[in-house]
Amino acid sequence: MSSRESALGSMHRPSGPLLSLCRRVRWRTRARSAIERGVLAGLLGGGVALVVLVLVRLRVLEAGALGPALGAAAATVGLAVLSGLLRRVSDLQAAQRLDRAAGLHDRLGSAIAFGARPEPTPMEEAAIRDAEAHVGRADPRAAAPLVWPRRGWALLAVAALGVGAWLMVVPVGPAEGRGLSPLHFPRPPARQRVTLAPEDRRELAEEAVRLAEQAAAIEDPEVRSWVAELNELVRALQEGRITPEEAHARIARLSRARDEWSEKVGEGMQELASRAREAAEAVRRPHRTTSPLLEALRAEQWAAAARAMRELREKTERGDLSGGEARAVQRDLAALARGLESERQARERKAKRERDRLKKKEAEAKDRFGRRDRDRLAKAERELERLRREEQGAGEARRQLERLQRELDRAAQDLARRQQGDPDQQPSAEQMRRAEDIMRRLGELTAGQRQMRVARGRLIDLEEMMRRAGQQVGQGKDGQGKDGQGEGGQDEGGQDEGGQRERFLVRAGGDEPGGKKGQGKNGQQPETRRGDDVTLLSPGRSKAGGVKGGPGQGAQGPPVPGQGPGSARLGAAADGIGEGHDPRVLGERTEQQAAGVEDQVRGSEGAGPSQSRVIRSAASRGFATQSWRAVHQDYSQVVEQALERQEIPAGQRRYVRRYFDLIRPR
Amino acid sequence: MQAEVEARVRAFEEATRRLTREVGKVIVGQDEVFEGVLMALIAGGHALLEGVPGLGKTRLVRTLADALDLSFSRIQFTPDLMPSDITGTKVAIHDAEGRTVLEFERGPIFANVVLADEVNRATPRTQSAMLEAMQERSVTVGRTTHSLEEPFFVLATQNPLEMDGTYPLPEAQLDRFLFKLHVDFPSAEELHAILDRTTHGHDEAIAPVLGKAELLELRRLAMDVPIARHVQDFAVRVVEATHPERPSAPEATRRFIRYGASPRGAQAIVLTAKVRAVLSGRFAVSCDDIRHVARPALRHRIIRNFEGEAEGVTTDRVLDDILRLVPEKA
Repeated sequence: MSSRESALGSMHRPSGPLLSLCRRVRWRTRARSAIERGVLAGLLGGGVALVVLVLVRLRVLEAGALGPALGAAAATVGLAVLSGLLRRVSDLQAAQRLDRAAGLHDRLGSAIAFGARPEPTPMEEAAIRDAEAHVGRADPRAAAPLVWPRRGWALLAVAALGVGAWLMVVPVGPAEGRGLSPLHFPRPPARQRVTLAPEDRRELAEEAVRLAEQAAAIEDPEVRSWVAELNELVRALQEGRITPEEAHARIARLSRARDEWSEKVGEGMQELASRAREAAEAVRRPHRTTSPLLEALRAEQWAAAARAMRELREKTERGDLSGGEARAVQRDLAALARGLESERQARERKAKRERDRLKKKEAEAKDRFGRRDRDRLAKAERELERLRREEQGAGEARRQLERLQRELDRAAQDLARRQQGDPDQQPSAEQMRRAEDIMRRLGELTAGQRQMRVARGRLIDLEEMMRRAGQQVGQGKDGQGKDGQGEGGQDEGGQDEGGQRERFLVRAGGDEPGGKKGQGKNGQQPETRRGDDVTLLSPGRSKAGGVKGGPGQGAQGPPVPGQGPGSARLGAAADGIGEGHDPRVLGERTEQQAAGVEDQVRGSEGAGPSQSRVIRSAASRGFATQSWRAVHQDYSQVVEQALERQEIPAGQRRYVRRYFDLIRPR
Repeated sequence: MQAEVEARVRAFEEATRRLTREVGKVIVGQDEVFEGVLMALIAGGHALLEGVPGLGKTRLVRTLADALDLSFSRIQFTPDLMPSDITGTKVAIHDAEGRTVLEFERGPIFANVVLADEVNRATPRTQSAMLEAMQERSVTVGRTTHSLEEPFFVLATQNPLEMDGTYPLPEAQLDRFLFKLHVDFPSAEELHAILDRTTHGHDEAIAPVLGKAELLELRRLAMDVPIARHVQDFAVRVVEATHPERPSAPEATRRFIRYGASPRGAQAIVLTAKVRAVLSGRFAVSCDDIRHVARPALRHRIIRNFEGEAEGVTTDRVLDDILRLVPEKA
């Protein structure tokens, strides 16, 4: 042993107790680290395994995939635990932990650090001894506590989810057994279907037949498609295979389609037919050849007019018309075209004439074509442009009528030229054929508009039915078993002929119409109390009510505590017509929450204040001279303003609007 | 050897206990300030005491000087104080033979304990002369350099309230002070004790309990106190955290500090931490010692930026954040 080694050997180093403490802290630290890392790895691996398990349970993956997933998860956990156990923890770190835990002012850590130096100074050796003297205060359990891991609860949650996934019941798919099977998720619970009153359903059944007949007779493809869709909606409602949301959406879609069609067609066909009738009446002493056409127009029958025009065209094509007849036809068609000319067309004709005159003047005498003429020409051009835009913006019906006027005018002009012996003149049969098509189209539009008008009323009726159905469902939901208005109650109960009396009996006795399994969401207690107060007619009750036995619970109501059969009690107590009465004569307040959003407004007793408004159109000229369209428009606006300004329940507003909609000029 | 070390430490404890007891006869409360002054004295540094007038700063220093059996001088700094008033100057005197000769007349700086009262009232030139002497521990007059006798300990005071007619010490000169100590208003109980002691007509006599040699021995012992690497590493990280450009700097430093502490700050921390360790009867420095001395050692060495000054963020608050956020283990 050299002198240096001897000197080193005499130096004081950290002794056994201190190092032993450090060793214990090291192991505890490693164990803690292993647990934490294992939990983290378990969380990750368990999460992956959970996903695989769910996919296996859903048969997206084969069951064989679960084993490797679980194995991988276990291996991950094992590796994490191993890495924690092998974590490098030095004596210094352990001593620091001990120092902090016991408040030793870094005595132990410093001692370890000084002990590692090759030649500790006397003060360092004194520090080591001081540390050894304080070893007794150090506590490895406090320095490296083995506490519940930070992510322990999350791991437990994953494990619980795994158990839940394992126990999950998944419907068997049709393709099971063929390797990967498609997912077959359970169908979502059926939403509440629209349940109409029996009379409404009967009405809808008749309506469906009616609509089908009408659809077959409609020539306009758009209208036919629209009516077919309406018919489908009616049938769906009648058969109860549609939810209120779907029904409202389809009604809204139909309303939009109808509005778009009406906008496309433009002004009312009745007005156009009236114009055609006036034009036909304006033809003086019509020839017998054109009489059928003019008669049809006077009768506002576009289809008949088209047929008459076809006969006239065929005669013209065959050359059956004599010279006199041709002149008469030409005269009558020209007169008819003049009568059909719209105000816009008249302005357009005048503007064209003015433009042509000015252009001719410009071409012939440019020097005399002054600034004023140029302004006039520009004005005429602008007017023509404006009229063209007006024509483009007009509805199809008006454009068709103007086209008819033009075709009739051209046909008359052709006939006139042919009579004048123009050999190059094309026969007027083509214009007549076009006029015939236009008349047929006008007939289609007239029929379509009529159909749409009727159908709109049907839509309103459907909305009203939906509203009633909603209220019924709401009642069934709120008081299932009370009055049997729920879906199931209707289905099982069949024809609820004596509904009112039945409802009275049920309210008095706390029973439901079916006489079995009455379920009441609210107020089982009040029902019993009422039952005590009233003597009920028990025998033949179901006969009187027309309700057969069966589960009478409402469609929407979940079974809740407080439900109970009422028939037995009812049967025992009911022995005749009651003499007493529910002391609360007014009964319970109507539960509205199931039917919709409660909407209340504050009112005042009596007549209350009233508003008077002077309608400008009525005051200025009087009703007699004012068209109903203008008057209605003014009134509608005033009513809309009043509806917006005043507090009126939303449900009542609809009635007001509906009234004004129904009296709308058509 | 071990027994000798332990004896030295016990002697240290005993000496400081005696000194504390003697000073405690006059000074009530202000334990933290006295501990700071004592640590600076033993560590061989100087201390700057900051506090409003009347809190006993001067009294504390004078009492300490009385208890230390050291030469003491007090310099009241005023705007017209000249450097030579501190360092001394050459004066013409007649020698024994009747000739007139120039002889260096020592100024008040030539004492073991110097109280520089209201140091911020003197002009920067005078302050510089004082601070140069503090740093170099010598005074140069003409071509002659006069060494100051060890121990040389300057306690400077300044009033934080009065700004008119004062010349705040530049940061570079503040760095010369080992500690900057805040003298706070005493508690009600301490105030009662002060009144009881100072209003009965006679002062308590202070006896010198610690001589020059003992003090120098204490200083040597303190320098011998070892510091483990991990504890020193903590001190280094604390100082680094005062530098806003360092990645380890906390948010408060990055936001409110312009310049961090100098290496002299780290030296001050370690030196005074060693003293505190021995004062506590330990043989090695702990991280708690570092935490304890970090505020007085660094608060005057870090410079706030405009935002810090505008928002009234004190350097103590920043240091609190640093000490809270810097971990003891790397």
